[in-house]
Amino acid sequence: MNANNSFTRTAGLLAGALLLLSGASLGRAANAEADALPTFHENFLKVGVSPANVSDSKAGFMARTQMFRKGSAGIEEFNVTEELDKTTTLTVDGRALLGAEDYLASFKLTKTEVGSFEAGYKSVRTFYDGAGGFFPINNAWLPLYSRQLFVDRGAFYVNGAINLPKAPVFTFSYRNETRSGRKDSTIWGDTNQTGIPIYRPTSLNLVSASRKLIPAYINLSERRETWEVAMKQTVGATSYRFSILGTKINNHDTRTVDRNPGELSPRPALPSNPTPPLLVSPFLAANQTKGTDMMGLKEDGLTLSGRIETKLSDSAKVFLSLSQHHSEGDLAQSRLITAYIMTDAGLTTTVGGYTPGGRSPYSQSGSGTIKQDVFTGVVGLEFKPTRDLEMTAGLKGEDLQIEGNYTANYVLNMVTLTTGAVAPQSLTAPNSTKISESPWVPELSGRYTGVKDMAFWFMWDYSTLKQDERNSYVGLTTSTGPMVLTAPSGANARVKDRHSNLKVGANWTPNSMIMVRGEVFTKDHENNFTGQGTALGSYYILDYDTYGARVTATVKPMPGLSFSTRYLVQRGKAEIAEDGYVHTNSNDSRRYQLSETVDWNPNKSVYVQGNLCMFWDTIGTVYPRAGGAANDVLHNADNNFWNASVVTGYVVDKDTDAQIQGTYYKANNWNPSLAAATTPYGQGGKDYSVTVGLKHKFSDRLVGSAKVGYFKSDSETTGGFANYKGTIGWLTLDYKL
Amino acid sequence: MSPQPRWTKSTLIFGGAALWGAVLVGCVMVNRTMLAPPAIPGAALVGNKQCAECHEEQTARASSATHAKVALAQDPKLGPTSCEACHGPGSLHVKAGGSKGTIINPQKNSETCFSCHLDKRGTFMLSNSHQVLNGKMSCGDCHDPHEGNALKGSGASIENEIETCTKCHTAQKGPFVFVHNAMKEGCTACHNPHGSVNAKMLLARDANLCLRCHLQTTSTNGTIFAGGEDHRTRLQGGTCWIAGCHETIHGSYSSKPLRY
Repeated sequence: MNANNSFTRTAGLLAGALLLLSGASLGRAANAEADALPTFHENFLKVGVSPANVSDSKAGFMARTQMFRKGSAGIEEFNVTEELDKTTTLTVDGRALLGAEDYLASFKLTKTEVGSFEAGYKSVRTFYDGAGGFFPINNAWLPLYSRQLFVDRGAFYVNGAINLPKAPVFTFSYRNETRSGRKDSTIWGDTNQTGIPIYRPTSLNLVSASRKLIPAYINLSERRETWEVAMKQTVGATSYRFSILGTKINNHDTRTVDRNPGELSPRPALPSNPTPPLLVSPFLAANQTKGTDMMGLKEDGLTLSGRIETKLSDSAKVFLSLSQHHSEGDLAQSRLITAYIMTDAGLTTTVGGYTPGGRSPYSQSGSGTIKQDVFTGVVGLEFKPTRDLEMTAGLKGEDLQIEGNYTANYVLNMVTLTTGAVAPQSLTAPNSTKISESPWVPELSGRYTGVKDMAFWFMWDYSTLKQDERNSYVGLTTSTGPMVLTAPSGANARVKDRHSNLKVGANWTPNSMIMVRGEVFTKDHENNFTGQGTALGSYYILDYDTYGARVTATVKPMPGLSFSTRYLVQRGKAEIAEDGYVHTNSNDSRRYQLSETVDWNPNKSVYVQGNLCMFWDTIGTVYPRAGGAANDVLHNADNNFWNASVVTGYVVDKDTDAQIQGTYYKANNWNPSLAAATTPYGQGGKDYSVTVGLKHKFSDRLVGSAKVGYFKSDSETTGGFANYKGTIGWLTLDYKL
Repeated sequence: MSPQPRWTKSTLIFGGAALWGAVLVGCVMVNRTMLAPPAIPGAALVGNKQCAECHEEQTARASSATHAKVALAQDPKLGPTSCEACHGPGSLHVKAGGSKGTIINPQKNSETCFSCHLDKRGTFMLSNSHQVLNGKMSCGDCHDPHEGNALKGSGASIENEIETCTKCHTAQKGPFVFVHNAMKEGCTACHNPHGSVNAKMLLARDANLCLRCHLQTTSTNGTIFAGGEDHRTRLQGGTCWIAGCHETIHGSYSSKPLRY
């Protein structure tokens, strides 16, 4: 007991002494920064190399850290700023990191009181891991192949401005943005390789062995070009801005989905009611299919917009914005599914293959057109009725018209199992839509600062929307023989939305040591559909509410030490009223977030920052009230996690700084017991990283840094197949040109 | 027999304190301030008027900005809505004639935003998040702190909220022949753009995501009704947008039930 008291007292004295020493040394921090390490922002070249040595899942490492598995090397940053004459400046920027595939090349010419011109290209790469589902019953992990997945996002741009004195300012710009590459999809294909036994007779199968675990991929080929010409001017108390914006979109994305790879139902067919019961190999449980789904859009759009803003007095300002948008697009789509079907005459492989009475292959290709017109107007007033009260009022009105059509040409090949004969069939399904929508949105916000050390504010908007949606849909359905089209269903849905959003908050800053900010918020949304279903007048009403509160506080008890805290509590509720069904509560979601940051400068040569974020998030819908077997299939969706980071930097000597950083993450939502009846999706796992680095001044023109880090990640959701660990080094040299 | 060193609680405390003390005393011999980035050592506050002299574009409508309504912890003499609350003290920037590196640019370092939006640092640290922490994106790509509502397109803005996302994600923009009406609620009805534990930043990875709006309740025990059909056995395989079911979840050209 005494020993403990002595220890506590000694530790307390030490802590107190350290804090005093901190405060005393920080008091000297206001002096000039004579020994500051140079940082270069103009005319410099920064080169670097960051080798990585990663083991286990390299794809997992790349997706998590967004670094290439072998690291990267090249020019991290490059700048040349040259004053060509007294009024003209040329700026050139660049970056070229091989491995990370991160590139930038740009130049900008600026002439005072004339204008500027810049052009450049940049590209960044995003890595994906291609992970499908892991199935815990038999530790199934079924990657099709280990091809590297990434998407490159590039942009070529040109910007110009003519900015002459006492004249309108003209600007023009052109951007050509691309997104290309291959990424994974959350759509996964089926497999029976799950370790769940499959029997004949089928009545012995209490739960299906089929799970959707096979990873799927999307090939992206997207381009968006925009050009804009704008003019703005201020005359007296009135300012104007007018612009013409053109857009051109050309997308062609294709998803590849493999279902039941390696599986094939045998011929002759397995007996349906064998005695004794037959344990069926999963390789004989279903037929493999390979599908490619493509969606393409070519769209040209033009938007004219203008804004006029005028000061009525020192305390009032009105504005009017108008926008007219028109776009026309060509639609293209195909969904071609190759089916593998064993017949008495052998294996048939055909696009859109199916057997009489079997499931439709839903293979189709087609084209269509779509056009959209949107006219939007906003009128508003900013005014200050008293010295302490500021208000903004706005009203938005919109008229939106969409008209589109698409003709699907179904590709169908009926396979007769006994003969192997393939009977091609072609069905054409026309679809169309016509949507007319007119929302009105009043908005009001204000701020009152008439109470000492406090500010009160609110923001409210209320959107009412009326929509008339007329569409005609022709689908496909099964029959005992060839597939048939459904009769056109001509829905005429009328939609009425009412969305109210409100935030009310207050801020309290009694002194420079304390700041507290709190707000409550609500979203009250009601979407009312009539004529949506097959029955005339059928209705569906969704009442969706979110409400909560958020508190942020910063406390600085002494120079060099601050605590920042943010806490959020949020509830989401939804109710559905639909004809033919019981009025129901369809959503009960809860979220609590607690975040903390501590900044500590014990003296001017040391800093420590610690961050902690804790999230509790759950979305509940039908569980547990669904009851029975449904409760085995779906539980609440838990999305909890916590993570933390610590970074400390300190001066080692006159020319050297050191930094140590650590991160930690943990999620515990993985529930493998769900695998008995469904696919578990909850995220579980943990990872951490530690890095230690030095920054050293070699001369006034050369600064180098070296850092080494260790990373480790364990993922329960992928059964450990996406785990990785490894070391990474960073070496950079920053040279003033 | 040589004595074995023992790492006791006292050894760690006193040893650590001695080391820390050495750092504290030793480092003050160097005249350089270390602050958690982003920071501008040696700079002092100058006030909004100085900023407006050169940055008229950013300050002209700043009074309408969400952030102008929010008191930020700064020097009370300069008012609670100072530009410097986010950009850091500006004296060195003014003295240097506005040169780079003398002022904080949140467009290049989102740490400024995290000083109030602490929770966003935590979500951006997740593996399913936009690449803000590694500098490939910034908060300013989606938020405008200088004018109106920081959530672009919300309320009575001239543009629509969904445009914030679809300017990059054009494939999800539409228009579609058959659109998922959830798109009118905005992308955030199903995604958390700041990051999520779930792939594609989904609020939930399972059927709960969809059932929030599509659940139908019947008197039959053990069913999960949606779209007029019991989906219980289908959900055994996986969730709603899985292969062969409702794949074109943002909108479709050919399938009203958004199957393909």
